[in-house]
Amino acid sequence: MQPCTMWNLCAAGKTESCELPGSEKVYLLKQDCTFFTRKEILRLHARFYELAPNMVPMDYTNDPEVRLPLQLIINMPELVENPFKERIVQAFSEDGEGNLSFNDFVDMFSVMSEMAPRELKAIYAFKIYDFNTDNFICKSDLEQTLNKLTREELEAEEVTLVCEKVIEEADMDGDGKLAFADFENMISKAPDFLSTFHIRI
Amino acid sequence: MRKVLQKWKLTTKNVSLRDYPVPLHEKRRLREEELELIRNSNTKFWGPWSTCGECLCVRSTLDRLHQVARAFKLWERALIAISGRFGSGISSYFSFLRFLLLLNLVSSVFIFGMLVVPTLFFTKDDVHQAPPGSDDPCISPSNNTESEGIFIDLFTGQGFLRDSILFYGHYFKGTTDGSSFNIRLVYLLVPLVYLLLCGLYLMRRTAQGIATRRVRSRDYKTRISTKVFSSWDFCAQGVGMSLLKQQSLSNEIKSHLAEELWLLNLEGLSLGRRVHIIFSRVLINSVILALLGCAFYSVHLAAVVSQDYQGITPILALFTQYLVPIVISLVLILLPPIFMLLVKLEGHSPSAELTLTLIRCVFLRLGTLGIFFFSLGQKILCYGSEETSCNVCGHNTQFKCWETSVGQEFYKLSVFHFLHLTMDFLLLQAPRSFLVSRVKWRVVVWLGKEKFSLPQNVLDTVYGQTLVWGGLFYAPLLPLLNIVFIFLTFHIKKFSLYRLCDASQKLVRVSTSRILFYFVLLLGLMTTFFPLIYMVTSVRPSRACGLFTDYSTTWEYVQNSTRSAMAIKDLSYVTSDLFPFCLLGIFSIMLTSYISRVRQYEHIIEELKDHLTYQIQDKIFLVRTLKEADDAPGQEMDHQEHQSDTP
Repeated sequence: MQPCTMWNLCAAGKTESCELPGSEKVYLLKQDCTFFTRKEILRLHARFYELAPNMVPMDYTNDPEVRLPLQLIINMPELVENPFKERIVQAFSEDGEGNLSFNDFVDMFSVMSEMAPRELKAIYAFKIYDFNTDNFICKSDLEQTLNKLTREELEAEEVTLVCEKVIEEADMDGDGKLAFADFENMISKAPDFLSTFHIRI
Repeated sequence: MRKVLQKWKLTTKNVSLRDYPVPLHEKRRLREEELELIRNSNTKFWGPWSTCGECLCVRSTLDRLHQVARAFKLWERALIAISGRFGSGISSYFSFLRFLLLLNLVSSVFIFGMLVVPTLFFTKDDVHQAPPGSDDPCISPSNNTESEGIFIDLFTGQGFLRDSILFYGHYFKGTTDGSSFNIRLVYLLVPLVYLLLCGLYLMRRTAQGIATRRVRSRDYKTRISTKVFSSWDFCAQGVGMSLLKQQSLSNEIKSHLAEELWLLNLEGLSLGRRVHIIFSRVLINSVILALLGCAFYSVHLAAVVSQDYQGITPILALFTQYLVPIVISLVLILLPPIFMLLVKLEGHSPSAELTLTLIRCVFLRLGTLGIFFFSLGQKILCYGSEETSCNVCGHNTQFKCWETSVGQEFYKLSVFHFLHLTMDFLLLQAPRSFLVSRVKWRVVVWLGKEKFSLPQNVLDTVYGQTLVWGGLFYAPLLPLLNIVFIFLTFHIKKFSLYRLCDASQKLVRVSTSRILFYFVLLLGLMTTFFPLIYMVTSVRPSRACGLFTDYSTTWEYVQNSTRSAMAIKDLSYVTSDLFPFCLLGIFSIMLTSYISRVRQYEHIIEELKDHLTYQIQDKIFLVRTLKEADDAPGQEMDHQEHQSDTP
């Protein structure tokens, strides 16, 4: 069997007729599902492995279910200085508690990379800023966001004032909290969103 | 899941699998399903190409190309490190430097390839010397200053540099006699076309930037929701930087609130206070105008003095030659801090203060350049003065080859601009940071380290590039020099940012700094482009040197060559008097129609917003009514049971 190259993978149904080494099968299939190239996915796996060398396997042919806990992920240098690190990891984990499998790990960095489109990032940004996971950004979510952003340097009344202003500016249906449509509308007016909402790895 | 994805597909065109907001294992499963479908449906050769709309092949090839191109970008690693440590606002300044490097590289490549290479190849040895014994006062060589040593010549552009390929005077028409390569046309058109293309590109980027900000934020004031949700730079790493960023973010929010408070206060001002504010604004504006006038006059004086110097000691001569750049630099050092102090007395809101100071600084820089052009024109081409020395040759006979002199002036300005930067780094920033880290006096602590001021740095860089563009026609190799300067500037600024500067307390937005950069660059380009057009079309070129010695204006050559080529008599309408007015009328009509459409759309948006609110309120009302209707029969039944229970 000939080895697999990019060209014979393109034509449909050719994956069986070429030979893939077992551990690489998983990465080639992932190629179109993320914004990363094969080399970058392998590099991500190396980073994932570094976090817990005794738990993460090198061979993924059997698709093992290995999840790393929240505490290990948020100590990565890319995330450790971020005030929203717990929320980011929780938004991408399947159980909502922050335990990431390798799939979720790649997904997280793919969405946060510079190549992801604005709409996709807006969806996950909404999930991140929604602290109580009720699908609305309400006033308490905003207060928590502000406190994390400013490390509680603002006075309580300034925080309340800012939250009221944000809701006033963004809320379109008048229910006092931001639904996803309101959030997306507001983000579409922020020219800097794409350049700030990304993590480089 | 299928339904969600189908809805997603309907709303967005050309969505690829990786744009779906579902977890990764779902995407893989979907991909398997799609591949299965393709495999089963069509087994012909063109099957895969017709069913998947954009073939995966093409897309992944393009992606691969993008990845490779990104690896070759200059300074990519350095920019990533800077944006991680200092934020994307400051790293945008360094990516502007890279953009300018690219612009200069493009122009150097064209000029080198199309001008310098033919000249070097086809040079005959003494064709470009003037034939001896000619009596024409415009041609005979004057007693120009002799070379004063290689080191000083390097700085003044005299001596061995004067006749080199650096300046206009070296290129002569005999270069390509007998071949079909027309060097005059090339010399004339390459800089003009390049400047025009640059101008169009910059206009496009400025318009995009302004449209993004205007459309995205509806007015020029940044909304606080934008500040809350898109201020935190997620790619910032580095220990301790988050503390600094949090402080600066809270400062920004506080200043936003202060500005809102200020606006509220503005409405409640008494009449006396308003009059006081208007009076102080008028006073301060006239003070600023007076300062600007003094600055321009001093530049003019310096230009006059430096052209009139007579033979003195070499060092003093060098100093006199560099008098104009020195005066300009002094003016640019002294006046902006004065502007910043004065603007605080005018009673504007904090953001308006910044914008006003910036506008004044830009005006100062471009104005000094304009005044310099004017005094140069006065001296060399005798504008507005009664000198008779220009009557004979059309230009001052002291300068046989006036284009080279103009080129030398630009060369000196450019060199001094770079020297100023280096001196600033070596003599001001480095000692200051050394002092601050070693000495603990109160004054020194109060002074602190230098703060990296983004607007001033951007204006500096734009000024340097404007000088290069201004001198492009008269010193074709100036962009090549500028490439070296920009390269060194990048490393000097990077070093000073990392070691010598305090991290700035103010957050800078990328979109704002981008608009600033492109717009000011465009202004600089226009300041140099229009005088150049004037010089090319109306001024008599020098007869002693250069490519256009036989023509009364440089542009006449183009007219002569094209007159026989095609019958473009109709194009004479373009230069007549009526044409600009017609053009103006058409543009006004187009502009009016666009503006009225924009206003109408804004009105519709407001109405739709209200409509949406009413719809939601109706929905809530209906739900509430239904709920009450549901509860009411239950209550009646309870009531009946209770009644039947009692007896």
